[in-house]
Amino acid sequence: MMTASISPPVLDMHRAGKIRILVAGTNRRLAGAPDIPVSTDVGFPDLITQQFMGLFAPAGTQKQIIEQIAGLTREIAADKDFQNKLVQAGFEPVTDSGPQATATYVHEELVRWTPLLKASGLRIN
Amino acid sequence: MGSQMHRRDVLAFGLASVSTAALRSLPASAQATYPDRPIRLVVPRAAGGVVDVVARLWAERAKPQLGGIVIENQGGGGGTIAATAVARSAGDGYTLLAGTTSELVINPVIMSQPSYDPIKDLVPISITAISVSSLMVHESVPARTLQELIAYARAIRARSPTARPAPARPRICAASCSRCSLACPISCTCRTKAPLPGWRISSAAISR
Repeated sequence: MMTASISPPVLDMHRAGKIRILVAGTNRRLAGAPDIPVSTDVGFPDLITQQFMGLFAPAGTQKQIIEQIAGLTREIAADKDFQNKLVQAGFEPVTDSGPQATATYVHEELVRWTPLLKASGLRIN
Repeated sequence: MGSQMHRRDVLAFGLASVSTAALRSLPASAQATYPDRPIRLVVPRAAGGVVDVVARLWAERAKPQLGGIVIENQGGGGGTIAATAVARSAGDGYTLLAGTTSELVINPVIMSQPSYDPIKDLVPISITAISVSSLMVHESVPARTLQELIAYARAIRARSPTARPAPARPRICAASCSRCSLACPISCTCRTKAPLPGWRISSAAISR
């Protein structure tokens, strides 16, 4: 068994029967592969193993600028062609994000991972 | 002719009042002046990787409204070099970070001397994409569901004690091989030496 990010090559191998994806570590259906079972389907709603990518600015950046870029990003995220390109690159599009949603999401991830990372003893210098 | 001019005047007046109202709601410093020079988008990975690809897809579409966006690839240190650079930059809207779980969540926790605080030093704008890890097996493994895999792993453990990981120091894998638990009866081949216990799923389900 192994884990890997969902991407078109991995999905191709799954569809060809070379590998079998048993669960995707998310609680939302995958845009590019809605048939793959997700964590809630298999009875482990806490099994969330996803990585995000987003936009961040240095502290002190004006709220108006943050909102301007967030608004523009929502417009970009709504574009079907942009969404398709993300799926091709192995990502799930996120269409409803913004400053507050991002803050909440980062906080949830810190709560999820901090105890595990501390317990692991994993360090980088 | 007269009616056309009249209509144009009405339209012009309408647009003028809308834009005046919109501008009035902005503080003087952000009015119409941002951005007046290129924005630096720092990507914490080398060029060509998936993070870089997503950053460039976004930049390409943001350019018509934001003008010049210069992508600066600063790989290395698992993204900490780039994140530190952005955290120490002026908060003037001209430096942005294409940040990921690594820079915002993982690295600050595991760095022996964190060089930035992901909450205090960086302001969230938006999540643009999510990458989902999955658990998969080779076609020869007789498990069609996660429950069947757990049952199969238990059966192997029952039949063959040699398949067990060492109880005190299980074979645990990070990142590419993900997160087994201490109780996981399935040995993984580690690509990294980093032990990363966790995955409540395995501890809850397999250790019984």
